[in-house]
Amino acid sequence: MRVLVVEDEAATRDLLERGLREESFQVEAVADATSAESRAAAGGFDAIVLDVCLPDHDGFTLCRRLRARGVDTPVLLLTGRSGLADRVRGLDVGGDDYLAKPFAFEELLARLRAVTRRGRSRHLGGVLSCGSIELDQHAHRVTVDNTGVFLSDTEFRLLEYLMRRADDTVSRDDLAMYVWDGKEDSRSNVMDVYVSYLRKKLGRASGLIRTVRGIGYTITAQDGQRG
Amino acid sequence: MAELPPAARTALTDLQSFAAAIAHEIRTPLSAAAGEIEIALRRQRSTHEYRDALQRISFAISELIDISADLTLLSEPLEAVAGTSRSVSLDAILCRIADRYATRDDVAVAVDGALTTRVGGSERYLTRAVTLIVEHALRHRRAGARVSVRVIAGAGPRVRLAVEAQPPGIWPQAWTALHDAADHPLGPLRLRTARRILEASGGAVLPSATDAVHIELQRTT
Repeated sequence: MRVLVVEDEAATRDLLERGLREESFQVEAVADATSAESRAAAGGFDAIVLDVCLPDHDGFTLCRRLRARGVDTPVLLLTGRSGLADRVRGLDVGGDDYLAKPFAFEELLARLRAVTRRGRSRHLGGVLSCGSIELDQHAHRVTVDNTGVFLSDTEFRLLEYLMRRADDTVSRDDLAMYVWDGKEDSRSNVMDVYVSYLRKKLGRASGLIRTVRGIGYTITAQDGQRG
Repeated sequence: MAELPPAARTALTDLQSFAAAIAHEIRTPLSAAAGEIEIALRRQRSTHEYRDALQRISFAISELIDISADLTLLSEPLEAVAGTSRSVSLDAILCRIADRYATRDDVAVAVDGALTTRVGGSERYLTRAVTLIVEHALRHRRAGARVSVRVIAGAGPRVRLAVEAQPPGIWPQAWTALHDAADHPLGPLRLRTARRILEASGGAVLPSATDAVHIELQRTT
């Protein structure tokens, strides 16, 4: 899951970045509303964690601007102010949830999962399913025909991304960006290697992942090898 | 509230604003320390990782200690702060600030021009005042901007230091807030503390026409 963290206070930003990365989130962090607006408008995030106090514009203004630009990424507002008026304002400008500082990291994770779930109907219950494969985003668990399959972090992210876009053809560029955080070239054979690992581990469900020659990969509920 | 005399109403409103400002200042390092502990305890880690986490927690606690010291200072009569005033070396003050940021490449402290200059005040308090203004600039700078401290007027009865954000500079709103706060008795805690120290030492914080804050100190022999 890809998250944009917008927080001007360096220690808090660093903490959120490290904490979320450890929980297998892919994180991009910025310190001001101007950078945040351009990154969020470019798309590709599953959620935005947005501090209300920013040096250039406040988080409420940024949230309103993003909604006006058609950005529908779920927004979790962070603020030191926990008053009713601020909570209402946050929700009125298009925020999806509101967390007052100081907060427990566990609660941030729970709220992040909740806003993401609400924002995407395919995430019902936090479990993605495709054919015989089930992927539990909360528990970080994958099963094929109810039998557990152990995946590495990268394999898990790869499968999660493909399943979130089930039936779509996912380009190699998208995989490079969202699974490898832009650190791998889309022409690199690294993603072919990981798809190969993933297919081996998925066993009987391996045929659900199909190669779309020259473009990328797709996952469908119907087995491409059988059908 | 409406039944209170106007002076009491103003005092109560000021007190509420001050309490809100203090809560905001304390919340940041407190959240950082609590968050570090929570994340560190989520899984088994190497000694090196625990050490890193402890260092970050230690830094947050140092900030809380500084805030506590600032609050103590604000609670004292101005005369008590002035009572610590003597002739101190500006060079020593700038060296202490340079030491504090020695491992960072986003803060530059130019000691040139301060070598023989002496100013009125307490070395510890004046160092704290300049540091607080540097911290304010660091908090409000644009991404990639460096903050510099330099002597800009070494002659005459007053010595002036500039705390500046190099391009891409500081968010304009932050400077406005800084200058407004400088004029307001209940500005942000760090600026309020800096202002109190400087005033007790015969100095001042001056708004600047450029993207900088000027600190005026009283020259001594």
